[in-house]
Amino acid sequence: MAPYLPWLWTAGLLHLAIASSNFVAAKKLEYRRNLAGVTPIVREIFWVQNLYIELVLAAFALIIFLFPRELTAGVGLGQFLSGFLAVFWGLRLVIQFAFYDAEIRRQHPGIDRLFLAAQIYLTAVFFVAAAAGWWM
Amino acid sequence: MVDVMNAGLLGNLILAAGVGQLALVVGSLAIPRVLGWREETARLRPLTRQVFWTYAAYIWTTNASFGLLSVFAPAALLDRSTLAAAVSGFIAVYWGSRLAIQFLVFDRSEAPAGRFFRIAEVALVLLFAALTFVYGSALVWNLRVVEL
Repeated sequence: MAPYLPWLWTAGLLHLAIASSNFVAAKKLEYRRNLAGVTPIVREIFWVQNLYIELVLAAFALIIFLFPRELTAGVGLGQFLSGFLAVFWGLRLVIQFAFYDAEIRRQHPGIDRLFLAAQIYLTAVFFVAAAAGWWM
Repeated sequence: MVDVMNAGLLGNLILAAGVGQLALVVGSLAIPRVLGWREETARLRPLTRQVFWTYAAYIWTTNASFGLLSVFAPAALLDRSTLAAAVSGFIAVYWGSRLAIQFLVFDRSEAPAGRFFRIAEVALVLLFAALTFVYGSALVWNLRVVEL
């Protein structure tokens, strides 16, 4: 078995876990009730955003499971995708610290740490995968 | 020879699609102001508001990445590898579903009124349809469904 496979399979599973957690968040944060006060168009945009994030996460997971060799080859489309995923999760990490309310994060320390760990792992794995071509 | 010409044509179409997506990315920066997102999302609870803006940023980044990939490496989307088929197919589904959502989900009576916004909506719908067609064609090309 190629040494990179367990790292990427874990990354694929994390994508599915994060996608699933969005369903829990929709219930726990009471999106439906919470969105009742905004205009219909903004409400619709929010639901469409949710749908698209789920679509993108599921597609990433599928690509990770089906094309691990290409993602770690360090060339072409595979390298672009790994680089994009590194930026995608790196940006999410920055958002977690710079944008999300520190007080809310303190109220949910377990979830906050889990998300941080997942974001750090995904950023690191895809950074290494994208950079593979530089030292291979 | 015909094969090479078709690849060249598709490559140019993908390049044009990339330019279209980057134009959309730039244009969509105006959407929050036009639809008053700041005022609207102020009515949401803080965490839901932060999720709203985070998701908006992610969709914007994804659109930008499709545009950059198509402008700078159109050939990578047409190399007839399984990965190229998967990515071009995914982008086709992404824009195809956006086209369907425009008609099936959004309540267009709520959209801003006026000729400018009507023209902008028509332009958007045409762009979504063109993007679906171009990346769908790339998928067909990569899967070698049609050999010309």
